[in-house]
Amino acid sequence: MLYFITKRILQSILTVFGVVTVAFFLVRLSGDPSLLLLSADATQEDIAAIRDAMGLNRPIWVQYLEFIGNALQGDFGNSIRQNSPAMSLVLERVPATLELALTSFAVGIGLALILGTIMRITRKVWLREAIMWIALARQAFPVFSFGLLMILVFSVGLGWLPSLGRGSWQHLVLPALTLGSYELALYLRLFNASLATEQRQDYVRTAYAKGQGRLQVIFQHMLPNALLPIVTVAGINLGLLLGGAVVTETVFSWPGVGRLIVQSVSQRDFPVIIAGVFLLSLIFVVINLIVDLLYSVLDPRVRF
Amino acid sequence: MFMHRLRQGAAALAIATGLLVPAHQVFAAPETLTIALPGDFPSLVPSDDTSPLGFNYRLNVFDQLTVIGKDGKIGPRLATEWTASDDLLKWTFKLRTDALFHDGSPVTAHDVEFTARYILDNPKSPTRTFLRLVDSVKAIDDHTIEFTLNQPYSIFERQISFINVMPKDYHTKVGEEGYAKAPIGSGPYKVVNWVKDDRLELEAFDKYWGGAPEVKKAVFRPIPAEASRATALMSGEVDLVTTLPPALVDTLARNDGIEVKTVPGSRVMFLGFNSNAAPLDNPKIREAIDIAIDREAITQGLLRGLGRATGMMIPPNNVGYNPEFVATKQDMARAKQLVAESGYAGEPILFDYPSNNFVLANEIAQAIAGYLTEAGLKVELRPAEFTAFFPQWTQTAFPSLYMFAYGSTQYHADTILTSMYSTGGRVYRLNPEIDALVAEQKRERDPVKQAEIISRIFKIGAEDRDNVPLYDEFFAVGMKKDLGYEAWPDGFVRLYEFR
Repeated sequence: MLYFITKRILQSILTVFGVVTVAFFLVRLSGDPSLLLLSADATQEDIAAIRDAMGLNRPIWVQYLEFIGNALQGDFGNSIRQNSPAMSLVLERVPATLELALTSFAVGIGLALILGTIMRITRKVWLREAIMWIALARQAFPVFSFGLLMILVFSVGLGWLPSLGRGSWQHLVLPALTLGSYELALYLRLFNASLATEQRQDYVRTAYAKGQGRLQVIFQHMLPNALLPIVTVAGINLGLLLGGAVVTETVFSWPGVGRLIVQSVSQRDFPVIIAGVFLLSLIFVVINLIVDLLYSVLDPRVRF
Repeated sequence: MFMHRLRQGAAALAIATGLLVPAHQVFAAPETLTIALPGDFPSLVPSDDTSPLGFNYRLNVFDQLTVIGKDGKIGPRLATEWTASDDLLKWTFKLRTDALFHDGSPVTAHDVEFTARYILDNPKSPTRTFLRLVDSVKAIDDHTIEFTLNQPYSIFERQISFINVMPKDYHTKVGEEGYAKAPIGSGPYKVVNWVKDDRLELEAFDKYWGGAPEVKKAVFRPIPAEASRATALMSGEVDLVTTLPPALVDTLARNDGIEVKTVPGSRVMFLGFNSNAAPLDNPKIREAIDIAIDREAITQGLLRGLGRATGMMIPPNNVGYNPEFVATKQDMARAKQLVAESGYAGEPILFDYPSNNFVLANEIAQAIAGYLTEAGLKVELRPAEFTAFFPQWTQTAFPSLYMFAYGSTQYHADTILTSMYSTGGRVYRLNPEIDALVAEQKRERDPVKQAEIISRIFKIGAEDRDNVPLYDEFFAVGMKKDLGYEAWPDGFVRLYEFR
């Protein structure tokens, strides 16, 4: 176990390092922040002067080594656009992103468990079909259009909920529903398939043979076992929710990390991009590690 | 609806006849105004930011020495009067004595000197571009400031309007980081709260020298998605959206509580040629491209009126505009003939253009490529994201044909002539005659003579066809009914105009 954890942590560090290095060279090679910083009527001399001041005229590997050296000490440099440390700009947005990701995650898993269990319990075929159809229809909708649809219905039409920004719980409802319901169909299918597999297991037959009721068998015996594959997928999805909520953050003008990174890419604000990518890859890797460890909790047979 | 059409018709008529909206329009002022912008401000430190978006902030929170009016004329702001020496090297500004910073301290020439020096001493400040001609700056007394330039510049009074005066004592006391967190200026609005990517809240500064503004509270909300800006207006969460895509104009205009206005902008969309490289080094091919394009079809059909075909690289509201430059009419037969005569061998013409930041950029580039193909030219479309496109433009790196829109924030032809016609700008084929004329108009103090020189340069440019103007950009503004807001050509919101 200890060996496994140590190995995974070392792997994780290597992964994060690789991601940051790739990100560094990709953004450097794709554009020049000095030109985007200046007004359109800047002269060639203005450009040369600002490039010099920003240290962009030095060879890229020198810049890279310097960056790695500083990053190892926790210094990701100052934002080019905003005169403050890049990492603190990213960290400022983390609460907003966490809030949205965790709520969406809870919405997605919660809905999947409730609806999935209903589908298993009910004997009405039409209800089962209806739930699956709704979930599939939802997933067929791109996040952007679904978000707009939610805004048109709940903000413009009914006037119940705000369509932009962050603040009260009301602000959270539409983005969390939009983001959280996206993976619903996937969770449902997975959950159903895994319940169906459990159903054929010996221990289920034994439970029935002991005279236990259908609901008791489902809730007490099958459900905990059926959760395993969901945990795997959900863990990866949580990572995606943290970093991949860009579209949702854009539709609902949510001030999260994803939007900051996209904005920084369009301004070639290197330090902020890299700080953001570093943080997100770190979170992703850590979540994966936790998922692996959760496995052994949920299924004592899994040993490393 | 009828009234709306009528108003739009009247606006179109006013534009067509060359009339401009009155400089100081009177609006009914709401207590709080919420404005949707496409993004957040990069920084609240005025010397760190030259972005067009940032003008919405800087014009309201800071004072500048001078101000350019809606009609393009230069007027006083912090400076009440100013003079230039005969050689146009020494510029002396007299400051008003009743201006206060938001912390209550008076605005003096020392603050202006501090601001200019702070920018000049900071090689990372992008605003140095606006002071690049300044050799030295000196406060003569508390209310007189003198700039010495390193070359004559007749419209320095316009360039200085981009410098936002910062308070020396406060800035020195709180330091750079402190100032970035709590910036103060002497403008009509104070910063109250900034939640990045969510909102910037401003509050009227009651002791503003120009009188307390009527709109007491203003909120700028960054809303990156076009469609979300429209829905925010529909749901009533914002009062004003400064740019609407043409596709949503009709939908929004049908909405009862919303008014949509079409406003002439400050940029001209044009085609640029790398005239050094084949095949565009051939003047016949450049002419063929010019006359193959149906500008009316683009502005009316594609842009639905959000553009006006033009024959000049500056819009009508700029100093130096001359209505004698008319838009090229399409003549496809002649275009085909020119291509045939040119000895064009079918080598592909690479057509670079920015796929975002411009209304319907892709559609327009495709339409142009269609015309050129019809004329017998082979065109390869090369869309690029704006941030990838723009540096190529600044560095004159396009291999043959490109499309771009550019406008002068100084509302003056000089900006365009300096950055797109003379050596040192985005010029592919240098022309010493134009260089000399551009320098001459910079020195010319008489506006009539200056306008003559400007027209001469544009005339040479039109004959050379290194750039071919297509249309003046218009933009659509959406607002709550009865707000009565009249947008500026630059699209920046001056909150203090609501009276």
